[in-house]
Amino acid sequence: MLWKYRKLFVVFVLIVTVSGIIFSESKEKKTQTVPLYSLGDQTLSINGGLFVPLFFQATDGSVKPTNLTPGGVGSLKWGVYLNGNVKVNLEAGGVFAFSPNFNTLLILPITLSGEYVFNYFPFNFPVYLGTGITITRYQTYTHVDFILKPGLSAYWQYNTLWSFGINFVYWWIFQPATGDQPSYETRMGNFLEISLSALYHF
Amino acid sequence: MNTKHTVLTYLSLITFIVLSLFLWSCNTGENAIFYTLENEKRTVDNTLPNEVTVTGIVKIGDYYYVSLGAIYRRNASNSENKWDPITIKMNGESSSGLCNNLAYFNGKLYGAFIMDSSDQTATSFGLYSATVNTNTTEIDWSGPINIGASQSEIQIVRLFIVNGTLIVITKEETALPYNLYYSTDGSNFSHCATTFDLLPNDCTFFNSQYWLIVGNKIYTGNLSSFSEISTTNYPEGKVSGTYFGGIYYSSDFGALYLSSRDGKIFSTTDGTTWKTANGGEPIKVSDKAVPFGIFYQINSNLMLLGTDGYGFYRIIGGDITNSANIKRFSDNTKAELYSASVLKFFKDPSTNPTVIFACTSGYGLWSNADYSSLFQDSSWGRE
Repeated sequence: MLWKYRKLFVVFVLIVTVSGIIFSESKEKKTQTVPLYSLGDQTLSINGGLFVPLFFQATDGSVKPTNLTPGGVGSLKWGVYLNGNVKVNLEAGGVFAFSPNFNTLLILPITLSGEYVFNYFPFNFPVYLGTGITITRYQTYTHVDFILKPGLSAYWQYNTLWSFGINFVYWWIFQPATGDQPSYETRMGNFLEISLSALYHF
Repeated sequence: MNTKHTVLTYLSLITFIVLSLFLWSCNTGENAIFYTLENEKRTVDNTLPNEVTVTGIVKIGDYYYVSLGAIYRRNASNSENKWDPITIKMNGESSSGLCNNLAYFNGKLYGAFIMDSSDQTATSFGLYSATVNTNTTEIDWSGPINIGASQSEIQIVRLFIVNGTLIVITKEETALPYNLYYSTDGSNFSHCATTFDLLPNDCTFFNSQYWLIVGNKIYTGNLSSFSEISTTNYPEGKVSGTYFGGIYYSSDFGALYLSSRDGKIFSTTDGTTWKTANGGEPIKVSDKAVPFGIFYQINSNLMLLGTDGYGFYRIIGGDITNSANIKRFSDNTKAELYSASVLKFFKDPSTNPTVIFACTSGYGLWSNADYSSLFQDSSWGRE
């Protein structure tokens, strides 16, 4: 079962990472303004905001409560342009939220994402899909899981170096029963990140 | 071209890192965190302060009384579980004494107290007794009881009731500071001739003798004096540095149980031949030996064993040689109990089902009103 997911994941990551190269060959739409950035330009953004636990889902499709409070999220994202519209990013961050007994849940994701940026100067609207792993820590438990992070952002370009914006990112974390855990404990975690960003171009 | 090459190098590197991380991890972990969260319930928390060390608990009439410096009580059948502070009087006068131990013996409540003088320059100690009127939230203590030592200079550090005898352990400013006093009526005390360099940690009655653990030694005696047991009678596998945490004779299981601070549990039926848990190896959590403490019999099939920092363990059926019979309290969503130092247990057999209390160091008082043979770990609540 797990091998099936591994293969799917590998294929997915390859698609994400080469998508930029494919996109880089495509023509830009005329409705967009001329991009300020090009192949090799890099960005570093710092993000922080609200983390909203939505629901857990069992493998039979049933929806379960997370019992978590809204929490906080923060991350650093490094990106590189493949052309004026396409970027790839590497992001590492952390999340905290609290259980009914105020125990702390920590989720530390490390993701790679492919991003397409719609440029309407002075605004940019990146849409992206990230994938990678999360290290989830709760009490004495640790779990390492697969994560998908589709999202979109809106940035205002302050100048050629700085942009500021807001992100809406959906987190889908697949946490299967492993080891001696019974299979009915498999859950898919669904969360929403709403965060603010300061993005530096270099 | 050079830039493009650099970018592709970055991409290859990132892809390699992410894939490596994934293949290394690929969903590992021994506990389903999301499933655990989904099933976590808010722990019941009654009105007793939480971040306190509960040093004693007794039941008088329909009320539980607990000592945590101050004394509180609540009605055993009070659905609101509201704890009321007790007004303390000493010989008819208001007092700010702190109670560090409680015992209910021969129809009277006994309390060990520490008191500051009115100008806060001196501290005195004493054992007091009271006939409790459950119709009020006031207790008027009488004392200090003359146990045979200079009352204001000795600190009472332990109260045991063993085999129908009230045992008082004191700490005095002497070379062997720990003394033992005992009484069968609560009024007339005798002094044990044996004194100890370390705190006598626990006491039980077995084979017509009192058994006392003091540091890494076991003493037996008749209360008037104690002597260390023969070296050959110590449990096999006990090393010289092993400090003991608890000793208890279970009439239900017909055996004497002994725990150590280095993760070992022993039992004997004759006082000389010992069985060991876990094949004689320390019971560990995260490669650290569990410092075991006191035993408490719940029913004819179940005994609890406190720890220092790891909550408590269940011993089912009394046979410690079967590892399946020794299980740690499992609900780690109740983090404070899961990692507590449990000083005492108390059960109220008059309730149905039996209510069980666990007194912790710094994490308050916990109770379980649904402690059936199913061991409902999730039913523990905070008082």
